[in-house]
Amino acid sequence: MSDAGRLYIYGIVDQVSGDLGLGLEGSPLRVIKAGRVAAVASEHVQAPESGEERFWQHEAVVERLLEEGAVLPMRFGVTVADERALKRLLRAREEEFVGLLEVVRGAVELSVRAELPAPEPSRVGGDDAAAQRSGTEYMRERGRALRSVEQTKEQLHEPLKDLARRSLVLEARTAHGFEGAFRGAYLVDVERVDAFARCVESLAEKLGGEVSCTGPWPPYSFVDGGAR
Amino acid sequence: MTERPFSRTHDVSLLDLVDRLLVGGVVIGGEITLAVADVDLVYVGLRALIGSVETIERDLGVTVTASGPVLERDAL
Repeated sequence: MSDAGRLYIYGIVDQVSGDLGLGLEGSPLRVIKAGRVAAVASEHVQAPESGEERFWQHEAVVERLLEEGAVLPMRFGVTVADERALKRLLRAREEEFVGLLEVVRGAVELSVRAELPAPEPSRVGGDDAAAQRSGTEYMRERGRALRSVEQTKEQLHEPLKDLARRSLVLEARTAHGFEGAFRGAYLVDVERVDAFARCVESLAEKLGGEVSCTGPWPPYSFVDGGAR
Repeated sequence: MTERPFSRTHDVSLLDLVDRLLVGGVVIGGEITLAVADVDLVYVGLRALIGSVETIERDLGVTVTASGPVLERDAL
């Protein structure tokens, strides 16, 4: 390792073969081993900038690694000072990484977003009657509506969860508190990806609303080991 | 892997990519190119890439005002 630049890291693997090609900014990829794991990295004098194109480049490297075997994808932008520092960091968490590689081996991540129908409080008797309802009645109706949309989310999540090795319900970021928003991440065996996709389709038909699924992704959401 | 047979649109894929790359993944060592403030900016920048204001507001938790986008803390 020259003293020229920092190492930008794409992923952690336990086996890697042949020609890895290039990483960000055309910098050649290198494998730095430490114990039973290895990091795939490229050297940069200045930390690579962010941006859509670079995000996809990082992703492309991780996907190449995923084609070869299990990989723990790194968050975008992680750099370490040099090879020695990287080896020290890898050794310090070797057990954790070895364990996580087994968790994700043979699986990919699928993302599901949905906007499920959220019922409005009823307007029985028209607006005037609604205006005269007591606060208690209103709150009761709100409660019922919320429970109903939570049930719809469960109807979406449960069958998908059953097809997945692991799953996470993530915060569906909504500015205006849209209660029907749902976001889930699923770690799915490669052999079950098609079945998962069919399940998403049939659930979308059954539940109504907008449901979209993307993937397969490297398992970004299942490697945090508590770091998220 | 590069084909995403059941992704709906480029927009959704990009959003899912950014959600994973900037919020998920392994972090080791203390150095990360994108500080939290920079991550905020990436999400605001997505506004230019992803269609309508409503989509942004809904998906990203960004409230777009006349004076410019205001990011709510819970957006991340």
